Amino acid sequence: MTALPPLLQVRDLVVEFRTAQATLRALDGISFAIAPGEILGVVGESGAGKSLTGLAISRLIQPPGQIVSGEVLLAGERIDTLSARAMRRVRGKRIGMVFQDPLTSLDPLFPIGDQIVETIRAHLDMTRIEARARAIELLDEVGIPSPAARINAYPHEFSGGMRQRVVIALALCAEPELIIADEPTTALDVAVQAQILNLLARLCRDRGMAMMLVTHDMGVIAEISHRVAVMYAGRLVELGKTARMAHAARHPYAAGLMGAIPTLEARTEPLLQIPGSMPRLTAIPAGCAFHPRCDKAFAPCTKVRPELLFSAGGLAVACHLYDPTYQEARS
Amino acid sequence: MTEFATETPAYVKVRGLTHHFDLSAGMIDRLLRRTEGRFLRAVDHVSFDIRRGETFALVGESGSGKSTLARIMAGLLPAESGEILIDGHRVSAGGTRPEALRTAIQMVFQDPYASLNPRWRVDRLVAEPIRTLPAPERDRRVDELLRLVGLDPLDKVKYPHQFSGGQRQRIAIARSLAANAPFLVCDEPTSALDVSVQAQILNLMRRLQDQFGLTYLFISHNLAVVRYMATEVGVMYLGRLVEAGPANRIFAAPRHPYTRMLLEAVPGTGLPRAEVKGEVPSPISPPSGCTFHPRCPLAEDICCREVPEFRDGVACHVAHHAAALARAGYPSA
Repeated sequence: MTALPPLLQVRDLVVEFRTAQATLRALDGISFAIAPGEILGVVGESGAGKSLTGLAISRLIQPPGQIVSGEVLLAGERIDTLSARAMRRVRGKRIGMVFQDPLTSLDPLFPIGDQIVETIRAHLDMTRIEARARAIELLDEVGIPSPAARINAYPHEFSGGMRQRVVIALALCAEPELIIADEPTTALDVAVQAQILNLLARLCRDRGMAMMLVTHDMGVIAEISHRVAVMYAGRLVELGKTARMAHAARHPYAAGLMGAIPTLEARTEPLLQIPGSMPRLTAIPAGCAFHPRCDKAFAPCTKVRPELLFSAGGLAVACHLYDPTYQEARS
Repeated sequence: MTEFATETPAYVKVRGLTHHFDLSAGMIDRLLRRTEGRFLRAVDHVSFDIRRGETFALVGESGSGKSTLARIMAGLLPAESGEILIDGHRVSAGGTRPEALRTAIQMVFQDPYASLNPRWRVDRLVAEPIRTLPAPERDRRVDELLRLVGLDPLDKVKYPHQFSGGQRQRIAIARSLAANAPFLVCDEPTSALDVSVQAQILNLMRRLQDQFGLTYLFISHNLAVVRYMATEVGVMYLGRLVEAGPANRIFAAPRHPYTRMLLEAVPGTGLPRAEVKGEVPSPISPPSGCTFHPRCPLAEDICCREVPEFRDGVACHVAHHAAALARAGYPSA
């Protein structure tokens, strides 16, 4: 997977919200890459900047939020400098999006078929009849039973799980190279969630599509993603292989987060607890943003901000514990 | 072996609890259009026991009736029929309850943003169940409660909006403990919280249980959280209890196909799973017989016709025959 050139590359992305009172830095130096066919999970607690990262890549940030610096490359081309018009063609055509609540992505006044046909024709050169046949194929592919009959149904006539399938079909319309899925299963029950996750994993495998899966549920990530990015207070703190992350995360925050998640195994000892809570954007501590809550913090953590230290295979950690410069200071 | 044959007598006993929501049109409409009354059976003949100092967890998907049951237990909704006994005393399942019983059962809600009055200061919120105590004693108790749940007594002059979600849930827990309630009904107490905060609240709830011998009815859709908290587990589907028993047994050897489906659907376990069929049907017109039969991999003819009775901790025609269950590849208890 690492041999292929990355499909999506994000370099040093900074997003700020400029208000009359202050400038808040919501994303601070985010860098990562996703290879074709790869699923990257993005986890973190509320306010860590997971969703904002997805919105920044697809340029859907609302003012006063804005991208201040950094680069976003899709298949080697910069998309963060495109005009709004050109970007609109990239969105939907090359980047598909799936959000948490399927009702916000569907217009309640039109049958789902019309919405899919419209989207297909906006991006691909097809007649109405061809587009309709394609829409039925797509609905079938995402597992809607008897798609030819259901294509004229309105969004409210579907259950939550079926609606999310329609939204996924909508995102697949123009055969995008990248899907940004923001909490796609959070509003669903566990059994339906499993169906939707299997569907997303199968689509990525079969179509060679890359996916950025944003969620706060580590179980969902462990289920289908190849690598995990852990975010804290607007920064990326660790990028690691999913299989390793659950029990051998390197960053103290990532390790604490994993230890705090209850599992299905019987246990008597208490869950791991990280004291305190994530800082507000108005009061990000100096140095490492996590140092006031970190039990491994040492002198440089309070002063110097740790940079992401990349190693082979697209793995990275932003922590002075792993920085050779500070090895002496620690011992 | 039956699930209820235990040495210690049950502290909370629930028998045949039933609640229907009336969704019928108005009387005149019904007469003019000759439509039938429509009822949603939110809770349908549910019975279970909880022993003192233990946690009984109710699990199930949305619409299974867990929250309705929690509200009936806490006295927020009247039940249509059935009875609740707490420590041997009959608690009216319908209608109002005497003051003493109301303070014995307290509830912790899912959303700490909605369960605390935003215009009240923390000291007033926490002291509400003990407002009849003399002021100095009440203040002392509030300080003690805040320390107990890991907050600073100096925080009592603040308002709810000045706290984070986890801290607000701590305030809600302090309030529920104010009148020394021995029995807490917790409806998804950590669902609105981030995982690191969830761990803090779950650890706090377990510590308080050990310290005061509290009894919990714990409602959650998150099976991993239930695994961590529960001694006994009840699984609900469309208003009925389909399986109940010790947590260790339920997680190691589920007997009802629905329980097994729920456990296999938990993401990230790495376990092999059967493809899940369909979604929860509408509770207004549930399927005939066993309401799970359209989604059930083991369904037989009888399942479409007859409602399975709840026997030996499970309500399933197939599971009532150990041999049939073993043939389907279920681990034995």
